[in-house]
Amino acid sequence: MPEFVDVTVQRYNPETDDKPRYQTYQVPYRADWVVLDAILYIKDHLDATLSYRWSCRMGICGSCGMNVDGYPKLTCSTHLREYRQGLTIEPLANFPVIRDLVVDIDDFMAKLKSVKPWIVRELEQPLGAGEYLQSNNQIDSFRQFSSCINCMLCYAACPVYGMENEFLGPAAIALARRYNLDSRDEGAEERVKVLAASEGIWECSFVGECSAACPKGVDPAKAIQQTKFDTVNGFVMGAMLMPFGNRR
Amino acid sequence: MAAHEPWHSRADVKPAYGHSFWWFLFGNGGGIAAVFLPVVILVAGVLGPLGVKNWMEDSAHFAWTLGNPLVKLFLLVLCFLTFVHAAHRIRYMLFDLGLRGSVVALEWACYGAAILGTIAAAILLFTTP
Amino acid sequence: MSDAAELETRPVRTYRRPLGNDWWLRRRSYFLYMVRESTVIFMVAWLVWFLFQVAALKFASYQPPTIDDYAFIAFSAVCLFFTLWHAVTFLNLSGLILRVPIGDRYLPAAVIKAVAFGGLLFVTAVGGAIMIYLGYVKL
Repeated sequence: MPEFVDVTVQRYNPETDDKPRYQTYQVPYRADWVVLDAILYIKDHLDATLSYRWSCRMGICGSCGMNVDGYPKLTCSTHLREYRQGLTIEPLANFPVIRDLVVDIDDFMAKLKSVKPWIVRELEQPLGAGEYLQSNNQIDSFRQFSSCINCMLCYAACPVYGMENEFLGPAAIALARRYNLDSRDEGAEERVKVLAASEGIWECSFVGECSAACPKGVDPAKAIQQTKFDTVNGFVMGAMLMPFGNRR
Repeated sequence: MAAHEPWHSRADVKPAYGHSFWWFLFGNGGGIAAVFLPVVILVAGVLGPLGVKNWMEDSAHFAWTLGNPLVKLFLLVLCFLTFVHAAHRIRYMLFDLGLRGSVVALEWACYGAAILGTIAAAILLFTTP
Repeated sequence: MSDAAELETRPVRTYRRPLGNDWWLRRRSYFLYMVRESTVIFMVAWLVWFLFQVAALKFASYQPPTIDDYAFIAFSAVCLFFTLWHAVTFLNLSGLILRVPIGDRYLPAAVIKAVAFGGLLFVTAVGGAIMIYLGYVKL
């Protein structure tokens, strides 16, 4: 006899709905299924109108993030067996919903780009000079920040972003930190303009839930507080060393 | 779509020096208050009334201790940093609780109160006894 | 204008769920954050009480609190509790935020944390001894 689990999904059609509604589907229960499998089953067998994003199914692409029972999760890495009594799936919190479980990620993508999450060099050294060398310790200083997959779960977990959408947000700052800590990078002075703007690191009140929600073990809360510390330190040292001038 | 240019793509985006100033005091205040305030409350607020003699034992000892300018300075710095630390946290708490109309007004109110409190503390400490 | 181009430029109607001002009641971790922030109220409250004692001394009406002042002892105990809450949560983060470079690596967070808590214990022991000693000074 097949077992079932009730999967309640938030639906929203911008052409007909003023606000979202909830629809419950009975999905066969399989202990080895993840939440995304249940959603795929709904799409294939129960309701072809359901919209959602997914791609790799293995926790790398970062596109299947949704709120499961009110908490942001990668649905491909969250087992159905943790929700044997039924579950509610909603689009990632704090983002504008375009349709059903699909959210608008433009704001995040623009913010991500604004902190230049790539290696910035004042002068690229010629290929003949060989590769940029790094010690293991230098790599360790930023390694965990580089695991970010841009899934935006941290934004959905962040009440500050929920209250004030202008906030630069956890992942963007964590990735900025990743490059600021990279010994090959020389872009810190460009990034600090955005990072230390009022809508940047200072909006963060250190609730810390971004780090708890991250499925890849990144610690954005740490990145933000360290950036605050380094920024203030830089200003204090700069003011003490050269009170009347801009360094460089 | 250029209807609304995001703040981070503006050409004049720059670090908020005011925020970094208050955060500097907030961080230091949090640390100083964490290390120095517990023992002050423990001795003068709990052990004292329970019968342990201490510097606030009676007005003679209280006045004698406060007569030392270094004690006055220590207490003033403790008050100043704790007040500013508190103002910073209260500013964020009030924002969390829904006071989001004008962050500028909120900051003036919170940091202003901390500065006024510090001035009051300075006047009291340095005119007593 | 082609259909595709028209679709591209049509404004998308979206729905954004408001967060509400009671978000901090919805998760334990959010609530503990709010408690951590609220500790400052008790720290300030006790310092304000203290400044009132300084004022009382100034106007020669200082009365030291006694064992019968239940309300005051309870007030101080509550303030001490939340001040310690602040101390523990704040110093716990010292290792996360402070970075002391040694060559191409950094002092381990656990060492910084140990120094911070060691400082708290040292100041409490030495400061407490001094403040109690001052009560025994012959005037």
